[in-house]
Order: sequence, then structure tokens, then C-alpha cells
Amino acid sequence: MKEYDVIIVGGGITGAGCARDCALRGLSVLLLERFDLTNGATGRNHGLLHSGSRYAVTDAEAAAECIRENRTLRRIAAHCVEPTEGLFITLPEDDLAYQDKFVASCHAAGINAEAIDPKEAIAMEPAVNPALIGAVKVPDGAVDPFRLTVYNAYDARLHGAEVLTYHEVTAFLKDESGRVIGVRAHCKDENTDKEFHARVTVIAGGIWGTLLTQMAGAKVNMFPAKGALLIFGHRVNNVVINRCRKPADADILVPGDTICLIGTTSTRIPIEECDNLRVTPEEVDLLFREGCKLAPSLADTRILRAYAGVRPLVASDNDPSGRSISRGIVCLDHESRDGIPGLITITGGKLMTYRLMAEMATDLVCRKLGNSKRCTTATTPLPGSEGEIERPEDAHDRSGYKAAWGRHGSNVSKISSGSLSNALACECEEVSVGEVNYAIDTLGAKNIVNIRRRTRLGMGTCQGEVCACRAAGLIAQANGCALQAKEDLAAFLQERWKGIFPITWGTSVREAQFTSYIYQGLCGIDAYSRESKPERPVLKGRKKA
Amino acid sequence: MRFDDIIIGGGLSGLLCGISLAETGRKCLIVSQGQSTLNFSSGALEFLACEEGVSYEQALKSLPGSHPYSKIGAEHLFVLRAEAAGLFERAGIPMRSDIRCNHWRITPLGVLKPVWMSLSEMTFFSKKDLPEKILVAGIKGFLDFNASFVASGLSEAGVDAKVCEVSVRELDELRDNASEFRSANLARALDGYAIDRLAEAINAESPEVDYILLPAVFGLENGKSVERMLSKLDKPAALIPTMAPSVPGIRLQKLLKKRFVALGGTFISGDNVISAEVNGGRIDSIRTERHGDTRFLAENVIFATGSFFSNGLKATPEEIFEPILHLDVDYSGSHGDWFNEDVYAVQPYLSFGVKTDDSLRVSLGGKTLENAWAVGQLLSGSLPLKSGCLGGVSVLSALYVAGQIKLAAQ
Repeated sequence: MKEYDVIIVGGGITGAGCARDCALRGLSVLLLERFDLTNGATGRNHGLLHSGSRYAVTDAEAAAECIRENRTLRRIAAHCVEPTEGLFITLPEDDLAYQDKFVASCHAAGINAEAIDPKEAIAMEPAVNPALIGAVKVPDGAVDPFRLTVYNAYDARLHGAEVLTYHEVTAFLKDESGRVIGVRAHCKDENTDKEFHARVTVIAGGIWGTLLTQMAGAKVNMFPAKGALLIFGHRVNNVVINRCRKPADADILVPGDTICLIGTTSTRIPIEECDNLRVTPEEVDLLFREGCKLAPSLADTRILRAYAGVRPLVASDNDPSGRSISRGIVCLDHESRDGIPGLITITGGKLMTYRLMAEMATDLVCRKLGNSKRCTTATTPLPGSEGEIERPEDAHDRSGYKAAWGRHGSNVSKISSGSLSNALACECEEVSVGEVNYAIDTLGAKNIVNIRRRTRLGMGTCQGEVCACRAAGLIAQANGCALQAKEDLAAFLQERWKGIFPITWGTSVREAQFTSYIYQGLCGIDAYSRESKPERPVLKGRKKA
Repeated sequence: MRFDDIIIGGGLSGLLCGISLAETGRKCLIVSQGQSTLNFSSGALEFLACEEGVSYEQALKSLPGSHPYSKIGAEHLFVLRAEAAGLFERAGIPMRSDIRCNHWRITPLGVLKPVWMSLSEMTFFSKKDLPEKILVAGIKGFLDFNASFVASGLSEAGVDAKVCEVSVRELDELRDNASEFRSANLARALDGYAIDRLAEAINAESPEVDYILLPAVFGLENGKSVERMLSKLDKPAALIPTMAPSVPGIRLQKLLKKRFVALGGTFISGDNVISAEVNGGRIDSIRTERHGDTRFLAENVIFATGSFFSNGLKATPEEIFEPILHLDVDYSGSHGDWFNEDVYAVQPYLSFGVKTDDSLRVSLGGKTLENAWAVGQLLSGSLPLKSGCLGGVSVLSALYVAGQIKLAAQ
């Protein structure tokens, strides 16, 4: 049986970053993810490229880490990053004195924060609340966590790693000495259990890491903190707007592609709820109210979706009560900590510091394997961000091309063209048939939800009303099974509705009714909805013509 | 300006109500904001979901008293179903129907769904008479109709179904524009010889089948292209609706509007009714957005404004309301109760609508308005998707109200 150097459990940004770092250092790598890449916290946050300013006052170390990684990501992941700049605004109800402390703390952390005149702030971002009494400009930006993760995993694969999504780890395999020698995983594609062997196993499962470490016989106390967010149907602001006050609920408004996001809340929840997060009416109300204070025009903007993610708060090892939360990155060597050789946990941290987390975990893996290669991920661009990426010339200004360039950088050349490929599958986000096929053939998409994460299909104002059926058609074309594609379409509409029903009023009710009339009334999709079959893979690769 | 009857809403129920009234010489006005559910019509009308052998009279017994059908009553419904068929015929719209029990249409996913009445070119089968061997013809590059979806559904129903993909050069130019290859544009491009060649291409694929299905992308203005297409095919054939926009739905709306205007009706489109003047329990007049101070006076006012999609109803996080007059609305609970988190479960919001008495008169502040009525999807009490009564409620409530108005005028 094949023995990998390292198995990484978890396909969020941390796991994908680890897989890439390990692969770049020449290790043989297997990444296992129980759903799709980015299914957990990675795909359920602001998509904010933190400058670190938010943490400057409360946590200087985290702030310094953030600004370093901020600069690094602009270099190595330029096609996943949008350098929007950010504002920290003080409203009449806030304490203006906080602003001085804030600016000083930013400077101490190495963040280029600059207090500007409120009028200048309004000129810089016309959507900002005109009542502001103070403003600080910071190097915030937006980052697409889906593409960032997918291209980390893609680059890992280019360097020999194997990435298996829809493989859920069900047990850790140990030898007689108690060393972890691999895992057993349930493969959802084939509904079978498989064993995989490796010299080292890394748990990078976010909040689910607490369950995985338990399964392996160790104990890492983590507390799930739910953060709810709202997506608005227009890009109201082009600059990230933060409140200049002690970090609180709903005080960041981030522009992202065609939309903007307000978040978040923070509520401790039981671990059992992490797989089925609900956004409450109270959370929607709070986010909406606070969001309107940052940008008043949100009051008249349609809310597209409400969703929530879970931050893994890790208890400090040195606190037996488990109550004190460790800040920053937690990299655990279970050999020295718990007497379980061959097992590492990497957790804590943030989307912003994933690369650093991966570096720390990979350093530890390499020490254990006697590999002396240095980390190069801070200087090696991701596929798509190599060299200078120039905006496409007007000659290339066909529908969908510019949008695809924005999403995939120089990889846009791998997307097939021609009249059949150029046809738009998703008009809201300008996703072409060629781009959908690229997501299927090159980026490992196995169903419509996966396509959405890799292309933004169905993420725009219509929420999949028009394009979902087209995407299902392209899946049927790829795998040759119309029945599975129709079942996947039914599951996709169910998944979209989960984020819509908490905010159905105004235009959203119209759209919801339209979707029901079309898919249930006109098409009869109900015949293909399977309660027993939630989102699952339906593509195993393209059927040979 | 004075009319006998003003109908607010130019969708299926508004148009039918207007035609029925105008046919007896009444002076009618329809004010339409433009968009209606006919834009994604299946080209068929359902009465009530029930198995093929079950009579409609029997199926009606299971409906609650709050359902519009229960208010109209089974006997009236029987007469009105027959009346509807005559109305379409006089409008020059060929339909097939059975006033007693269901036939079946084939959906874009290949599912069989019950129908009462259908445009004559659409599928309309008795389950036992489904063709044995069917060819489903798709159009190359057309993403809003998937032949393999239809075929796989038919296979599940025991039909030997195969697919082919065809094209003609008239479509190439359209295909080169990334966002133009849509149903209505195909219908504009497909006429005359293009149709003949498309038929030839399909015929070449169909020697061994006994039936052909193809997407409904013919005839935006009238039925001539449809007739030409079907007559050129070697085998019997029918059309399957595409994803929106619906070419048969657009044509249906145009032909109904044409009929209404030919009968002397006044049709204002792209305008919104913004207020209505109520005096002594009656609506005296209405005003519209584009006609400023002009008062439109009428003996009767019919609300055919549709449900949420058509803006006949609006929702805020706190309430559901009817935006023109704040008519009494039937709904209960708070926002959390209006929607089910399972998209395929019963969705309570779909049954919301304005309150009416048994004659479908609306009420304001608990008092029935003597000369104001609601028809179509604005009515409360039906679950159009679960009960399969969407088109039937639209058509029959419209004719029911028109009938009462005509009777009172005699």
C-alpha cells in the first residue's frame, strides 16, 4: 500500500495552504476533505484582506502578523485579492479619542494608518455615512477565500499532491506503539471506506478539529463562535468601511466582486450546531441596523443572503479550566503533548494568516521527516498570479472574458473559447460555459455548489434562478447522467434557499416566488428532491465522448 | 374618463376577465405594469392535481373552504371550464382541453404533470397513450432547453427516448453573441426556410421513432411558425416549454391583448395604479402613475394584480400588504412562520392573498367593497404549486367575476 509523507485532514484554506507548502517542499501529500474545499469557516466569512488595524489596539502580535501576510498575499495571490483600501470611521455616537490610540497602535504594529479629514473620506467612499466625525485610511482589501483555497489546492496538485474531496475521515489508524500511521475515510463518491497511510497526519479541520483530535485520542478544547453575515445585492461601497471602536458586532462592510457584505456577530454555540448553522431574525436585524450606520444606502438595498460561519476559539493549553482563549495560531505536536507520534494539529489563526499557519505546520512536519527544505510560499506566486497580470485589452472584451480574468488571473488562457464556450451560463456574474467547464475539468468541481464556489455562478442577484439549470445541463454533458444532474439541481436550489429564507421580504419574495414557479411549477423539480441526499458529488471526471 | 369596468393587471386573469366583459359590449380598461407570469408560462393551464381517472368534481371535495374553487363552487366551475374553452377559441388561440379530468404535459425536466387545457402545439397526453419511441431534439448551444433532461425523465416513465442536437446556419450569428442565444431571440430567427431546414435536420434523426419533442421556440407573434414547423416534420410532434422567457406565454399574452383591444377594450401598459378613491363602500375611481391627475371612473374595479412576483402583494419583515389600497389580506403569524426552511415543503407565503367573500369581493378595514373584486393569484387560500391549480384559479376566478358583473348588469 502506498505510504504518503503526509496526510492533511481538512480542505479549508489552512489545509489547502498546508498541502501546497508540503508539496512545494517535495513531500508526497494527500489532502482529505469531507465535503468540498472551503465548505467550513473558510467559505463563510467577510472575505476581508485585513490590514491588521482591527487588532492593533487589542492584540499587537496578531496585527503585525496580519499586515505582513496582507503584503504577502497581494504579491502571491494578486488574482484573488482586490486592493480596495479601507476606512475606520468614527460616528457621532463613538468616542473620537479612540482614534488617536488606534492610529498609534497601528503604527506600532507597522500598519500604515493615516487619519484623514471626514470630507476626504466621503470623497474616497461616497457611500460612507456622511455624519462621520473622524476617519482613518488603512491598507485593507478584499480577498476571495474560495479562489484562494482552490488555487492553493490546485498548485499543490501541480506539485504532485492528491486532493480528495467528499472523503470523510472516520478513524485514525495507529500501529502497536500508538503512532498514527494514517486514516480511514468514507468516500462519498463511491460510498466505500478506504484506508490511507502516511508518516505524518495533520489535522487542519477548523472547529471540527476538536472532534478529529478526540477521535485520535487527544483532547484540544475549542469553542465554536458563530459569526453571522448579510450579503447585499449591490456593491454599495468600493472601500472597506470599519467602525473605529473596540471590535464589536456588525462593524465591517466589505465590497466583494458584485456585492458587499456586512458582519459579523459572535455567539458561542454547541459543537453539534456547527454543521447546521441558522441565522436568527435578531442577528439579521442587528446586522442590518448596524450596517446602515456604516453606509446608509444599505437601507434601500436588497439583502441577497444571510449566512454564518464558525470561528474555532482554542483554549490555552496552560489553563486547566479551558476558559482562557489562546490568541493567534495554535500548532500542536501531539507526540510531545499527548504521546501520540505522527499527529499534528494546526488551528486558531485566521484566513489572513493561513499561509503562516501552513508554514508552521509544514516546518513541524519537515522536522519530523528530516526534510530540510525551506518554506517558499511567501515568495512563490499562486497559479494565476505569476508575473505581471495585465488587464485584458479591449480586443478581448467579449462578455465573460474580463470577469473570468478577474477571477482566475493568467489561468484565463486555460478557459476554452469559441461561440459555444463563450456563451454565458450565468449572466449576473458573467460566467461563460467555458469557465464552468474549466471549473469541472481543472479545478475539481463535482456539482453545482462546487461550480459556484469556483466561478461565482449563482452568487449574483438572481441567486441561481436562471443559471442553475444551465449549470446542471453542463454537468449532465460532462458525466453523461441527466438523472444525477437533476438531483444535483434540486439540492442546489435547496442550498440557495437556506441563505434566502431568513431575509425574504421586498424583492427577495418576488425572486423566491419566481424561482418556485419556474423550478417547481414549470419544471417539476420536486420529483428529484431527495431528503436523504443532501449536497454530494455527482461528477467523477468527464465522460469520454 | 369613465368605464364600465376597470381591471388592474394585464396578466392571464386580467386579460380573460376583460375579454369576457368586453364580449358583451361593456367598456373596459386594463391597466398593466408590464410584467406577468405569462413570461414563464408552460403553455398549459392546470385545474387541480389529481390522478387521471379521478374526476375533477371528486378532487374538488378535498379542498378547504377557503380555496377560491370552494367559493366558486363545483357546478359553476364546470360551466366556467367550458366557457374558457370557447373564449380562447373566439380569440383565435387553438387549445386542447378536457373539462372532466386531467391530461399530462411533459416538463423541461421530463416530468409528467397534470393539465386541464393546453396550447394545441404543447404536449397533452393521456398517460396510457404516451408514444413508445420518442426523439427529443435540442438546439445546439441553447442552454435553456436540455434534451437529455427531458429524455431521462421519459425513460423513467418507461418511454424509449433518445436525443439529438440540431442547428441551422441562421442561428450561427446569434450564437456568436454570448448572451443572445435565448428563447425569444431564437423564435425571431426561426421562420420561413430556417424552419424548413431545421425540420429536415430533425427528420434525418427520426426514422425509427414515432413521436418528436422539441423546444417551444417558435412563433412570438402568432402560430404560423409553429404550424409550419410541425407540418414539416415527418412524425407527430409537440413542443416542450423552455426556461424563461416562454415563447408560447408571450404569444398567448399578445393574442389575448389583441382580442381585448379588437373588442373595444382600452389597454394601458407600463403604468401603475397608485390610488383608488373609496366612497360609501364603493371604489369610485382610480389614478395611475403616468396619467397624473386623470381620474378613471368605473362601475366595477377588478384587482388582477397577481401575487408577490407581480407586486400584487408586498412583504416587509413585519407585514404582508396589498400596495394599492391596503385591502384586507389573509395571512397569519410573523415572518418566521411565512417561510419553511425546506424549499420543497409547503410554503405558507404562497397561499397568502387578499380576503374575499364568496363572490370574490374584496374588503377594506373589515368592510366588503360592493363593486371591487379580486381574481387570479391575488386571491388567498390556494397553494398553487402543491395543489396544481395555478392556471385554473387565474382563468376561472376571472370568468366567475366577469359572469357576476354581467349578470348584475342585465
